[in-house]
Amino acid sequence: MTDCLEVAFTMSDQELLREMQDERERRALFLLNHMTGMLSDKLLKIYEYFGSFEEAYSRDADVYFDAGLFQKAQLRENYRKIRENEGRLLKEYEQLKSSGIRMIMLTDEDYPERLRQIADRPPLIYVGGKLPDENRPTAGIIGSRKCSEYGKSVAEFFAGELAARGIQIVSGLAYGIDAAAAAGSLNAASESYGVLGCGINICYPRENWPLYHRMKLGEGGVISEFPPDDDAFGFHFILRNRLIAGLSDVLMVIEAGEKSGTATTVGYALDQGKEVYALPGRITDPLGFGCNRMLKEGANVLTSPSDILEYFGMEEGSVLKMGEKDLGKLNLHERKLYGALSQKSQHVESLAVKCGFPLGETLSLLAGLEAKGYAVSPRGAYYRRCI
Amino acid sequence: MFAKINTAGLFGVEGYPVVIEADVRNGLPGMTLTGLLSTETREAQARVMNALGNSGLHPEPKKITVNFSPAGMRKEGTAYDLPIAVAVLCAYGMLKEQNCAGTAFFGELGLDGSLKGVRGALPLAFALKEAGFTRVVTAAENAAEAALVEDMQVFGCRDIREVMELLRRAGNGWVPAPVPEAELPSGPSEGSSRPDFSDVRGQKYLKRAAEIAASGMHNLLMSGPAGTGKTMIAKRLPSILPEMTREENLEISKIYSICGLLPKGHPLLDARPFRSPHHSITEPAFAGGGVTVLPGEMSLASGGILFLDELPLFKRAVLEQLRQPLEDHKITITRMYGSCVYPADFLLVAACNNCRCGFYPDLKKCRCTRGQIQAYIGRISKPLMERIDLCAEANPLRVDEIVGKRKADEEEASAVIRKRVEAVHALQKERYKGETFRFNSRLGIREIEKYCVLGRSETAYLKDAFTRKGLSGRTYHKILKVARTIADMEGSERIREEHLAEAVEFRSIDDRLFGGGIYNE
Repeated sequence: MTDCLEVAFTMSDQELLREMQDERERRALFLLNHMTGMLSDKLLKIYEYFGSFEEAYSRDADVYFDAGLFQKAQLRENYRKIRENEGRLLKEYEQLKSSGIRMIMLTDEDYPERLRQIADRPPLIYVGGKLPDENRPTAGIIGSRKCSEYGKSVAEFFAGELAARGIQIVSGLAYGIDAAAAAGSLNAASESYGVLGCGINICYPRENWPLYHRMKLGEGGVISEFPPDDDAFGFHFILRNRLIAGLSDVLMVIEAGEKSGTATTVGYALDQGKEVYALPGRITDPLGFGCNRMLKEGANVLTSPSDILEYFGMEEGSVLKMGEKDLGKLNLHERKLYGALSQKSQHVESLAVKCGFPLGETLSLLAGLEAKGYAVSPRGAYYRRCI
Repeated sequence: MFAKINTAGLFGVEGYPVVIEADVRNGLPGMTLTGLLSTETREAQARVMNALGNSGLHPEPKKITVNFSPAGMRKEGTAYDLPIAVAVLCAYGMLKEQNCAGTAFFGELGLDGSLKGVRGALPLAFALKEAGFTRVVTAAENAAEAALVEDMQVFGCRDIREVMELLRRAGNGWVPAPVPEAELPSGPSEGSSRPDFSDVRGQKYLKRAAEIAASGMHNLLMSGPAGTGKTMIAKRLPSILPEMTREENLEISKIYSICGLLPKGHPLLDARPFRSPHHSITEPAFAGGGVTVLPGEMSLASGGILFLDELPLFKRAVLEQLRQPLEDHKITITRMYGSCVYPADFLLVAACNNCRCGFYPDLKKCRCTRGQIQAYIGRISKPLMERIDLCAEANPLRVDEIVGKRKADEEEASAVIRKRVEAVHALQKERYKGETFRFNSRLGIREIEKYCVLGRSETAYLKDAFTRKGLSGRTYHKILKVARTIADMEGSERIREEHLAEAVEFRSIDDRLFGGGIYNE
């Protein structure tokens, strides 16, 4: 009897049915994803046990406890809550869909291959903008949130150089190195990818709004596995790190302190069999400790964007050396001032003393250098070289 | 019998004439005082009668009624003791009332009959002058101060007997009053003891900011780690402002007179005020108020510098009180018996660290989290920040700036800087002739369009700087006003690119807050 029915459907009808099934499945998954304490690993176990999320959602909490999927009594309450809020959540689901956020399930075709291959892949990801192209190389750039000016410059420079040559840059869109890498690749190639430690609708930290906004609107994209309006909880970041490692073909560590979250990302990358490159740090620099330890433990030495290009077997073209600038365009005073500038930020007054220029002249010269892209002011009254 | 004697009362910085009427008649002996009096004023009955007794005057025990007119205004202070005593003596017939005509009295009495100085002699004398009096009898202590009022004959007496003697002799016509002993300070004679800019080594950036602030009367915020000379520079700012004119000095001295803060033996201030209240200050102490409405720190800083060290540590309510005076340059305090207006025309100079530990932006030393840093600076509200045109970040001192011998004329002296500031003030006065303001910092949006015109290339430059540095629109007018002052300092009528470049550097502190720290290995 069932056979006859199946034959009776035309091809397009079958597709329609499939789509409807998918939609129901996606809704169930969306709802389950909102349950407190329901992280990706638990979702995967549930899927394995019930065969589908739709099935899982239709079952009573007791079934979960009997199957050993739930252990803590609190989960019964949490499970009841999402059922109670079903109406509101489904409204949010529709809103999310119409706002252009894609919800991609593991079973969907457009689920990123790179993620499908990692062990603890998330069954559902939220995507704003684009996903990284499967056929183009990706490189992750990670590092400390509290980083040096030098670290920021390097991250921005590497991201820019690589993005300009078609490599997709993945970062965590946090402060510091992450933000610098995202800014570098966005400016060079209008493309950058960020894996968020909060819901897809939340921009954390808020200072990164311009980057987040551009990426969400299609200059690259933002990806999250957490419910769309979830705040950035500490443990989220550790989880999100496995996705950064997962989406990257190769991982670059720019600056990392002794105890740094970057170590977890590197750990994931190594588990997933990815190459890790670390930027050597000074031995006295606390922000170099992490990188140097990784190098000692066998990470690749990162000194130039060409290291990464070489890894991908790509033509180098004309990669600029860091800090290289054409000084021919500058006049004598500008050149003298540029000579006094360095990687570290210096107060305007110190620069004026070094060059022997009056303060007013130094200020207007600096403004000129900044306009031409030779200097940058990270903070009022402080200037450093722009690389 | 009945007698009327003239005196004056104070409300805010303004005085008003008061008539004291005394009536003596048979009845139950005692003194009744009427006319809305505060406690200390009412206590005059004890002081006056005992003072008279101890001065060898023994009025018969009779029923004495003393009325203050206008009765509707609240009378405060002890300056009414002397006029009450004179009125009572006249009412007893011990003095001739016609000898007191055209003369006003004020002063406090001791039980022994001695006359003591009171607060507010200067505004009282001013009020009496305005009310048409040309003669004042007061305590010797107050004579110099009251004599500052032009065409006012001031007779300073040491006790009630001297007053009686004076009034008896006045029956044959008044002799001109002797010139009070305390002389007017003759210009900046004590300049040598004042703090001077040449004491500050290095810190050219902050000094430059200070000079711009003084030149255009722009409010200034200095930020940076401790020990970089922020307080030193603030303390020296009055020394580069132009000397006060006599009118200005009188206006300011009036406020100090009310508070009893004029230096002993100096009826006038000898320098522009520099007030630096501690950050634990309360709202009434800051804005003015209290049981007897006294001027607050904002008014005491009028004509000079109000320096708020550790700005973020001040109570929010205290800081918010700055908003109205920074716009109107006066403060209105409303109390039960009406509202009084005190001047509050000061140059606000504030200093702050960039974070709680004080080391930010030096990330090597600073241990604050990003949130903590934002919370720290965030205590200064946006509307207040908008009223501060200049923000300057101090350069942490280098060792070679502190160690080593100082060359004789290494640093500019205040007098040299003041010459330049005076020239810029004169230039602004000339330009703003016929306007209600005198300084670049006072330009409103419409005036900015009129007086801060940019050429085409300068407009393009500013636009470029805005996008490059990610500046907010709020800073636009500040930058123009400051650029106007910088151009004036160079004697340029046109605002040029270099003026804008410098003004941009001194923009708001909050624009740069998120720029991140400096980590130099």
